[in-house]
Amino acid sequence: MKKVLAVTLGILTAIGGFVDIGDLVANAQSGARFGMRQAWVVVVGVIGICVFAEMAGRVAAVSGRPVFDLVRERLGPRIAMTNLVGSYLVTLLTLTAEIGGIALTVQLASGLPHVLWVPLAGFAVWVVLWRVKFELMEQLFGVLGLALVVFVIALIALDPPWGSFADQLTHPGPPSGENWSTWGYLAVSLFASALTPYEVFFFSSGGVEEKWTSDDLATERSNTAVGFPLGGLLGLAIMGCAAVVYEPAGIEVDQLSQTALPVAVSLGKVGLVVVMIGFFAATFGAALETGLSTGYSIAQYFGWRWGKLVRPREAARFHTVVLVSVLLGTAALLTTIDPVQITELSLLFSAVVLPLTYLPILVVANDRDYLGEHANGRVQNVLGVTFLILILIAAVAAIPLMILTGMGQS
Amino acid sequence: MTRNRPDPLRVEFHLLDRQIVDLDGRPVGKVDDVELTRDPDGTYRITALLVGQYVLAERIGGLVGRLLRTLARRRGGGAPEPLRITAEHVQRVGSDVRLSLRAELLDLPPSETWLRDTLIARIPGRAVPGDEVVRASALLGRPVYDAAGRRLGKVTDLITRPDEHGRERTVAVLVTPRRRGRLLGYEREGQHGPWLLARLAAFVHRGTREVPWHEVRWKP
Repeated sequence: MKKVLAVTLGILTAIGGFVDIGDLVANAQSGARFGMRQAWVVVVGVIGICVFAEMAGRVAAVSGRPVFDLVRERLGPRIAMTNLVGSYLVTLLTLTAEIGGIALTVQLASGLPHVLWVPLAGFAVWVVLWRVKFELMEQLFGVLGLALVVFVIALIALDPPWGSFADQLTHPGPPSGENWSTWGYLAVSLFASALTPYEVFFFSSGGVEEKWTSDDLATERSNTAVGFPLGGLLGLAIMGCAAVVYEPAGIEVDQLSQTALPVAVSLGKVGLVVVMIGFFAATFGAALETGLSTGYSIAQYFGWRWGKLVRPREAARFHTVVLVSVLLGTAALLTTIDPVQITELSLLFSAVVLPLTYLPILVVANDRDYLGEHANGRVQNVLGVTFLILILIAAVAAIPLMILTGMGQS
Repeated sequence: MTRNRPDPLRVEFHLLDRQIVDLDGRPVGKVDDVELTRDPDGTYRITALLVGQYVLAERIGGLVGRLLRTLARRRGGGAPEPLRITAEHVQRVGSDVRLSLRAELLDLPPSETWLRDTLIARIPGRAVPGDEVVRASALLGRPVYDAAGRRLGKVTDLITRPDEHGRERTVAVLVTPRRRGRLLGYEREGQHGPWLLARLAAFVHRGTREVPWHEVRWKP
């Protein structure tokens, strides 16, 4: 019974933990602009994160080495340093976006401008990181994030035109009047929202810290294999809601409140309250994960002691990095910069830096000295290489598409 | 470094940039460089692993290397010496490099201790009781009290026994009502003569007694 509970809790955590500010923004934007035409990007992205997380988790459990440790070991100090700088900045940008998301959610509830809530949100994130136990933190926000299931209910209540949804799914290209570059720009964002580097830093570092063994590996595998796709389903529901409400009118989504509006339209005030709980949990949970990930990446590159289970005074540099990152993110938001734009930027640059993190994991997952019988099999390698190619395409295309479309404006 | 190593061992692939962990698996640092010593016959043998940001910076080179080097230097004042772990302390080379000693034996880099003392240890909320490090001299000579707040005397010695992990842990203190000072050893069983000195020592240190650790209070 206890085991069933643990597995259920793990799956619930994975579902809630999958959705963050990137998914809330990218899915709604894509739905508003292209209906369900890009739904398959979400599906591909979810398979990608499952493949990546499974490999990283397996490597962490069998060899005890977290992701960034291996990045330096396999790429050498120089290229790994480039990767470190890139990954750190992207994770910092994501952290900034998540703190901004918390503030925007509180703004939605209180009516007061989000900048007022930014210092409080930043402080709250840091206090939870400093005081609250790893497991409680992960489970609390993961399970509360399940409130986002309200999007599925809202979508059904909106009685969407299923026929045209199906039509859009089979014709995934851009509709008339839209060009391929905007389509490509949003596709890259959507792909990156499912497949962000920090999720893997967090996942594998957590595995090392909790000293996973091969037994835990099976549990974790099922948690992510079930939890992430269900999380992706929430993303699709967000996309569907935006498709119903905004796409026919040609309204673009550039605010977080617009992501929530379809739920208010179909379910009224109660729906809106539930959405806000979901937004808060999703952004707060992700802020914690990205905050820790800034510390993980730097500490693992330099070989410092790191982790949430280590006493802070024995991992002073790690805790300093986390603290400074939260401060930097909070300070950036106080310049009244728009959190939604930060989110878009963070997604785009996530796509750019991902290959340098993905490649070492794919290589080490094949290293029999490290993994023995747990090394990649043929199926895992076919999937692994397919996604390596997809990730490379997204990385190469990201910046040209951003310039070409003026961040999706044209 | 004889048994638990890949065969053949490759310095660049198996050693450089691997994580070094101590006996208990705690991170010590990365292998930032490897020290080789040239023997008369012209071959090199691995003598030590070097750990330190400055060493790493020299390997990275370029602009980033120079920046890292400046950062490392500013704290240390001049080029800081790397942590040098001699080859005989390497127990196993695998997915990590495991040492045969505990991390406590190795010097922490100044950045870690500086951040710990000026920042992290000062933030409230995570102070763990018993976490502090003190010197024995800070405890010796201090007045101690019993649970009721009565003064027992001054501490003249700390008595330890191995705990379940084999670490010497305090079990009692020796207190004297009077003066502090070395006891010459006459309070122990087994040292008796010469008679005159023993009597004298017993007189000077009369009232000296052992108090179990859990009965000792450091404040009244």
